[in-house]
Amino acid sequence: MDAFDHLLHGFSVAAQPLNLAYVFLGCLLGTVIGVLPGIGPAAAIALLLPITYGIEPTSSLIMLCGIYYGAMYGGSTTSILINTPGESSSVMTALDGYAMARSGRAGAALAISAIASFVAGTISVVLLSLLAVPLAGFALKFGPAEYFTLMLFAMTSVAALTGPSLAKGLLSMFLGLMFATIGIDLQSGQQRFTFDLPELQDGIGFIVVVVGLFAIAEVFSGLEDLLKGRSEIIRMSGSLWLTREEWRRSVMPILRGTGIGFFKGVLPGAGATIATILSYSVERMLSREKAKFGTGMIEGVAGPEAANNASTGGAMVPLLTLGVPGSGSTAVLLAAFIMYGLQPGPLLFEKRPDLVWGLIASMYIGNLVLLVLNLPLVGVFVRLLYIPIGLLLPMVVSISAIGIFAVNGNIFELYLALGFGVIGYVFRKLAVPVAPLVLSLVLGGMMEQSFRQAMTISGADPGVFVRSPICISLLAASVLALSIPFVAPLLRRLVAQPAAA
Amino acid sequence: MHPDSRMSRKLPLVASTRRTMLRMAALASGTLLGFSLSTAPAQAQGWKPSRTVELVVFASPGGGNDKAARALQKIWADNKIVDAVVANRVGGGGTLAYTYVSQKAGDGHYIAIAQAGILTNQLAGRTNLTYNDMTVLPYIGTEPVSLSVRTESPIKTLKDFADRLRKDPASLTISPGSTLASTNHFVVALLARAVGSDPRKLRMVTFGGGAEAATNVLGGHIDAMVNASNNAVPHMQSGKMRILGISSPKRAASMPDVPTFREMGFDVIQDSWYVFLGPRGMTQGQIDFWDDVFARTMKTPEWKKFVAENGWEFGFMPSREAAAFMKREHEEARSIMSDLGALKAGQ
Repeated sequence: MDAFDHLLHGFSVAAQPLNLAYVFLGCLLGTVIGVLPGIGPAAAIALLLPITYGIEPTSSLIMLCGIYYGAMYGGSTTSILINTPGESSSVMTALDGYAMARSGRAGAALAISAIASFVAGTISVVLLSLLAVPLAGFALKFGPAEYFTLMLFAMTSVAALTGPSLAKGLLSMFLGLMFATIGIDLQSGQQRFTFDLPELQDGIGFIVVVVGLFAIAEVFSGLEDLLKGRSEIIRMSGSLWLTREEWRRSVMPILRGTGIGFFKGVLPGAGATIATILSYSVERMLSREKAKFGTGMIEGVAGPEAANNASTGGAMVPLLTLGVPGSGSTAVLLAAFIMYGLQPGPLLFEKRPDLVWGLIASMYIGNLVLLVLNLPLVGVFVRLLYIPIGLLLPMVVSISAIGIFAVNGNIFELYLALGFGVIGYVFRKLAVPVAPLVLSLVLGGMMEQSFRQAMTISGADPGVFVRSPICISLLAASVLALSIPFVAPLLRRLVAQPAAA
Repeated sequence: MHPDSRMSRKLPLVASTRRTMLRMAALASGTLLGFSLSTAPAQAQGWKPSRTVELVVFASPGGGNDKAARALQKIWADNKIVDAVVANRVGGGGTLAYTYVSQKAGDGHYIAIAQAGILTNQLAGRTNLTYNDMTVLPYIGTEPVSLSVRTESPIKTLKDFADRLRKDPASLTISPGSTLASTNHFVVALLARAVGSDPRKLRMVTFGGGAEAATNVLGGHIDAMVNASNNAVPHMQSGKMRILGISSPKRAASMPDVPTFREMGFDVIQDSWYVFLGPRGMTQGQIDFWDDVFARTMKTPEWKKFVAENGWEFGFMPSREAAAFMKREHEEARSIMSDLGALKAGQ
């Protein structure tokens, strides 16, 4: 088999001691960057680019890619421990991961996210090795109309995550959509809801909202508990490792999450985030204990964590085969390729097989390195929870503040985060979920833009949304997702009645 | 707009590139002089930074002008020219970065890298800050702007494209990358104007950036894109895109086979330029210092390498010429934006 020969050759490149060292370095840096909120993999790779200039291209790209997928491993840690996702792709992990930590299962949550990441990362590299070339054209089939229907599907899935009260979930989601409209409108160039503040022209950044709603709100309620003398230290219950039961429940979510993540990753644009939403809603839909989601279900950690890691392998498909980056991070990786005078695309596979396959092989090794690196860290990270609350809260605030300021160097955003902290605290008091707000903020802008792009292209003909098979099947799936909560109880009653009679 | 006035506006620009080339020749011959100056103890009444300089960019790390700033910073550090840090101040299409620097009146330690947004933001009424509120420092080069379609497209030449616009300006979907009323948008607007169509009727679609626009062109979702040639050249090399033309005054070194709009008989000249700005009230000594720094930087092999690898076109104008250049660009942008109906009343 051709791909197999190439891969073997790739391993001979990746296994050179120097390249092994770069894989390790990249994975280590990625983990650290993933753990800290704020500086994401895209900025980290960009900042490191000038330093790697003298290094041999293959080694350098092996390291930079290690940072990219390594950050996906680290991203879950703060979600689980302090309820602060560092990337939009770890918002879903926070829902059940943090709940697990509150009930003393932080060790298990961290362990399953490392294992899910490893399995998903490895499988997605296998898929990348086998399918990269055949899948190349898939990413191009998605135009604005297809994206809009995909986002619609993702949003309907978010609406299904709203927990016990649909009204509260929708409130949170619509607020998120409203915040998403702030800033200069791309299609008309006009300002919307900016109150003439230049700081608002580019909209409200994800990291600002997430730090406010999750981290700062957490600090406020921690403060309240402390003042009321209710603050209790979380005791670890059971071992740090997974129980047999937890293992059993995680296997299928990991496999399903991997599939969803890889194929969503192939499509450019918010791949990892949408993949986590889809994976979470699939797990919730298939579960017999739907109501318990959000209270510490390990399926809700295993699935999304697998999905966001698998998407990194998927995202390499359009990058390597077409030279089309699917995300901020892969765009910087593309810049790195070009800096070395390498043009990703079909020709790259022919011209530099050593580099492409060496890089792919290094991703197998990198995933192993990350597992070995992250599992022992579980023991270290859970000890964070033993830090007295009076020390932990100021630490969370200062790390978050540095994270926000480091991105854009903008003090206004710190105040904005504080404002969202207040909103988050109020939401918590009223039992309104915050995840729909964050996710609709990330997806809402893209959803609106793709809607209007499609309408401009079609000359204001809405028929554009039912013209391709992809659009039609996504629309059908959205209708299905919305109707299940209504139809399912009805069906159950219909089935139950004859039985009772 | 009368075609003649368009002509007369174009001429000084051509003249200025010629002047630039003369200037570059002069600089090359002045290398020896520069060398002897740098070995001299210090320039007589010259100004020198007394601490680390802040090089302010409005892109996020990794974005277009951030890459250029980081290349400059590294050249300055390696050649011990200036001690600088790159500061990313993202927001308002550059307005936050410009405002930040403009507030450091008289302080030569703050410079910002500027692109056409400094002109169009104010003309569109998004900010009151103009380049007149700042000190114009040297011009350091441009990126050619190219018009491209996918290989399968029935549009084979710039003439085919122009014919379609002449018959019906709304018959093609075109992406100017991420911003309307930008240099990229101006290229198509000027082309529409040249064939007697109303630029306001153009069907422009914006995307998150050049890469996203390229994906949509390759997938056949839109007809064409007009943006920094960097976005199209790789796809042209792999045989998936056709570049119909570039809007530079002359052909680009990075794609010698691609004709200019002017060669094809369309009077369209628009470049994506890079100019440095400092706060208002800089002393002549400070301006001279930066003129000297950039003149020396442009001659380093590292900068030449950067220019070649990023498909830039080499160009340099010292502060005085750059200020005149900005004035012309401002007038031109005002005229095109007025045609596009994108001009804020009273600007």
